[in-house]
Amino acid sequence: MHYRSTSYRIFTTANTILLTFLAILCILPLVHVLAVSLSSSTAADANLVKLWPMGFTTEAYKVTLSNELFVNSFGISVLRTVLGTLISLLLSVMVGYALSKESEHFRGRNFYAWFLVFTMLFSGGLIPGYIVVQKLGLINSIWSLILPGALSVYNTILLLNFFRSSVPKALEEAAFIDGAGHFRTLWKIYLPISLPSLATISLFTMVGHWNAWFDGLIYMTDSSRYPMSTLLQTIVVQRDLSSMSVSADEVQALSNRTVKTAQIFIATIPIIAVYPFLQRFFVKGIVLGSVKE
Amino acid sequence: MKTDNKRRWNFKLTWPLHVMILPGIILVILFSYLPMFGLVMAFQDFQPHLGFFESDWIGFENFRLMFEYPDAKQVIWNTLLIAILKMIAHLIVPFTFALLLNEVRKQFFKRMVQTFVYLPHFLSWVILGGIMLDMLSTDGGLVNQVIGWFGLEPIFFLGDGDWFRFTVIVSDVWKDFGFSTIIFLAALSGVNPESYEAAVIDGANRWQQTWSITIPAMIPIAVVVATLSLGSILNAGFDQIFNLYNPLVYDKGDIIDTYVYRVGLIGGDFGFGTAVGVFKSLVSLLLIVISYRLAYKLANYRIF
Amino acid sequence: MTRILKKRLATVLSSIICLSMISACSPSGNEGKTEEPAQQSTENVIVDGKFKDTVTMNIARQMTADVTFQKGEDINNNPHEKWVKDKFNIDFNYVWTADSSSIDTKVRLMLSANEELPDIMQFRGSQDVADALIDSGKFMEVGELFEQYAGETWKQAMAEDPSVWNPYTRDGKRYGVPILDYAYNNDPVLWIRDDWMKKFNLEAPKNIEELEAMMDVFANQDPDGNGKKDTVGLAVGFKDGMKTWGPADSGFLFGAYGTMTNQWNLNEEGKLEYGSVQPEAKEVLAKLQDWMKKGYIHKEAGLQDAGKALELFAAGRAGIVTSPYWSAGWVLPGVKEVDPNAEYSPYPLPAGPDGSIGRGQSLTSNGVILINKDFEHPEAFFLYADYLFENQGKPGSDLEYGLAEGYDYLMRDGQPVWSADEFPEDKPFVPVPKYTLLFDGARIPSQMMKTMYDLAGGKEPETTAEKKASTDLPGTIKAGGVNYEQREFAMPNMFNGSVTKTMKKRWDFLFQMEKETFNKIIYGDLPIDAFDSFTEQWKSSGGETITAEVNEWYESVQVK
Repeated sequence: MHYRSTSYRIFTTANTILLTFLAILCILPLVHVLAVSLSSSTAADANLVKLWPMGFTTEAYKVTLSNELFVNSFGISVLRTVLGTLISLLLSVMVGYALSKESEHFRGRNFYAWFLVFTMLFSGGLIPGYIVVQKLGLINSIWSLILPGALSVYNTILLLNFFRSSVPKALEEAAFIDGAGHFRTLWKIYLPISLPSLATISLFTMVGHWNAWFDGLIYMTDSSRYPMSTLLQTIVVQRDLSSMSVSADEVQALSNRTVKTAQIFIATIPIIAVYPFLQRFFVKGIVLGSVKE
Repeated sequence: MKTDNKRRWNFKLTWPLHVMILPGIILVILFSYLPMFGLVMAFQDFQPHLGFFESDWIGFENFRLMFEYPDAKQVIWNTLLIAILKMIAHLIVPFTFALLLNEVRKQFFKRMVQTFVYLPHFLSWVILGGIMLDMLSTDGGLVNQVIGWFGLEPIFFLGDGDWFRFTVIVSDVWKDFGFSTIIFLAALSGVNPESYEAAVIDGANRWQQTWSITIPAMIPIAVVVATLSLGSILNAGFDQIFNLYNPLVYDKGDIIDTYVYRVGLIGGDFGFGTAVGVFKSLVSLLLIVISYRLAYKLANYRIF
Repeated sequence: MTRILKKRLATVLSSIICLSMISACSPSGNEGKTEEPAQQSTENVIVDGKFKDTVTMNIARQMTADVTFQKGEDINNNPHEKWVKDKFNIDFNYVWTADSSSIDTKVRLMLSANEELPDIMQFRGSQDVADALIDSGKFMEVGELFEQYAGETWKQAMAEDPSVWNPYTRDGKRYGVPILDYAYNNDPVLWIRDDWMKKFNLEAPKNIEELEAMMDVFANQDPDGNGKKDTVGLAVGFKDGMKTWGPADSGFLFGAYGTMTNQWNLNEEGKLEYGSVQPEAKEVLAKLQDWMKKGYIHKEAGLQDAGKALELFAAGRAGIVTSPYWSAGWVLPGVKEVDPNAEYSPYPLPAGPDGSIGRGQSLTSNGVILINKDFEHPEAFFLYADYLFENQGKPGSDLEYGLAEGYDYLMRDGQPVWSADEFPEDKPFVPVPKYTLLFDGARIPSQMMKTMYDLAGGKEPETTAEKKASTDLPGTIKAGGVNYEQREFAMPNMFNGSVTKTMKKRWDFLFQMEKETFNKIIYGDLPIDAFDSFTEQWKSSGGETITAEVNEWYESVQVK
């Protein structure tokens, strides 16, 4: 077997070293963030902390976790992510399934496809988008964070391509011959086979929702309704200090690095935690016992 | 078979497809097409308190302003260069990385590497920008220390125009390759393990297997990703550049979006921003139409 | 089928257009708001400084990041809000808030959507957005109300710098109440490492020449004694322009040569001129180029913004930095973590070859209050704000020691305590003055530095302001005193009006060109004479027109 050949062994060793190196390179910034969050604020504000805490203290975490706004925003983020991902997934699956049909079988397919793709390229921009949400009465509603971007065209296109490549035509035709309709075929054939791709776009959607901050900023009227990323953004943002009308107190409040990094770190934990869970779906190819090509 | 097929796939059967697509279409009309009315701002001297109806119409003035900017050519060139190089790098690196990862047999190691490389994606450029300033410093920065071990002169990564472009591209890849790899791993998981077994029986070595099974499985999704990334051909990454650029590299690093942002800061000019947006969208649309057609003509493949 | 589709598409599109017309035209009702002030009657009079019937004030405010609350409280529920209700029978009702980074966007969106505007707009965002608010015509002229309701203290405070009204004045009418801040609050003083000075028997530099000598020592003679050539003389950041908003500023060098960069200065002919294109700037650039070459300033100064450059000092890598008085408590103390023996103190800015000294002056006003035309009781704001001006810190007043006991001060044995460390953990110190409509409470511009100066001179603290200030770090007090001594050298930006027409189109290009040229000269990538072609291009690419516009504006605010 090839695993035993010398050249493959050399390759494996080199590969392991390379991957380890990359992994370390990628984890450095987060280690730095963690180190700063566990340092004394004097050391942190003077940017003295590298990869190891200076003047170790967990004060920043105590402050963060006793901050009602922060805890509250965490809940909002979880809610929008769960709700938003479910809805997006449902929409993408349905649209992706329909669009995966060839145009000779599904007339209007190409029109629909371009109709959707067009929205990826052109957008009316901030103001009209806001006006629509506002006129629909969604200001301060969790739906303002979910509905406007509920259908991710990008994810849908990915999904329809996954559908095409992973669902064997023979299987689908067999289902039709058995009298199954589209909904049934989608549910019984497509979804079970497409778990890896579903996991992928779920992850994309979750990450998107978890990180999204701008919608919270404009659609919510006060910080008690902000999702966590929005709240984080208001303290992490690089403010324009080129004008002279800067309040020194505010700059100092904003430069509280230990609390800032503690919040960033806490905000990253869920997204780190969810990934290994989803990895199960695509680390190994799924054996399609029922299909023989 | 063909006629049989036709019979089953008749029009009556497609109503469920329309039904499935309907909710998505409604949302898109509501939240994407309806706001497109705002594109009229591109032709207006838009003032928030006057709205779309009372703001002055100024024709193509906003577009003219964009091209009249003395550095317009340079800015567009910077944008294109950086964006295209990023696009290519964002395709090649995750693709290769997925292949390498695919060769790892120890599941634990594989998952760990996968999780670690995925992390930088979640840190914003404000944070990473600060870290990079320290890491790339010519004065004791980690990277230049390593370069020093090889007896080389420190490199002014962020202060020298050409190195700046290089740094921007490499760091962007570093931030996102782990995340972008996921999509290729998902594509790989669709490969039936039996086809490898069959290849082994045929006497194919690992490299031949990779060439004939693994890579072909990833190509379609790579084409899709590449095509869709054309949609952002004029987005060279605002957040990143904004946090990294400085007066020493304006000539090589200033991009359309940072320029629009600064103009906005001075005058809050929505009309101008919209005009630039329309210009960018038109370019993207053109490229996507072309590549869609090409993929269909050459490979008989519909990207979407 | 396609035809049907096309037809449908046409219907859809036309309905979209209709919808957006409707949505953009119809005025909106915002559910969250109470429609009218609770009391409509014109008979609602003020008796003993208090409204007879409750006045509901719908407020939108910029929530600056320095506002913090005790557990369970927020902007609509806190001791100050209760005090206002008790004291004046005014009900503060915050309808929306936005942080400083999003307030501009938020206001533009609300204006675009034609949303109902609040009674009171508490704003500290960009001038451009303040202009949009005023231009919307929905806010009232307040000049007369101010004259009518403001008391002596407030009027005098406002008169300390009458230019604070300029940004909100249209045709001689005043459409916003400027919020006063401490004068010179972000003006820089010179901070020097005393232990390094002692080591080399140096004295604080009186002029640029001595400063250079000191920088040379600090850069070349290994002041930190670690055997490495890793220190610089002066920490400066050029990334956002030569003059920063405060820390690590190089404006003082321009001042020493008689101009001030990045701002509009009044020249001898009584005209405004842009500092960065004056011949004096060329001399400064030549100096900086020389300093960069000699390693007096950090070779990455062009990459560093104010905060980043300040870190150099904090990391023990720079011996000198110009920074505001409050730096003693923020960032600079970091240096003690690196070197426990580090000592540093504030000193006056050095003079140039012809003896001139100068520093950029921070604004006396920071923010504005706009009052809705439809607000029934605009006098409510004045009643409230005037009370704060008359009473904050005044002996015998209910606001003598602070705004709320147990929040921004404690009483212990009949004596007030302000130190945050003294507060119980479950009821920590919170800055109640920041809950006010004035962002930081009533600030009398001249008060802060004067107090610091008096205390630095050894005066025993008597008034509340003095007692409170005396709890500050000794370094802060001393620096405040130095700041005050040099106040005559503060150079204000004489242009504080709205962005002019040509500025909108050209300012970005001009400012980018300025930063790029200056940095390249300093780095030696361009010869010093590149400055001349820069000024030529600056003038011809719109600078001249802008100068004319700025002067036109200046004249318009002069005629009263």
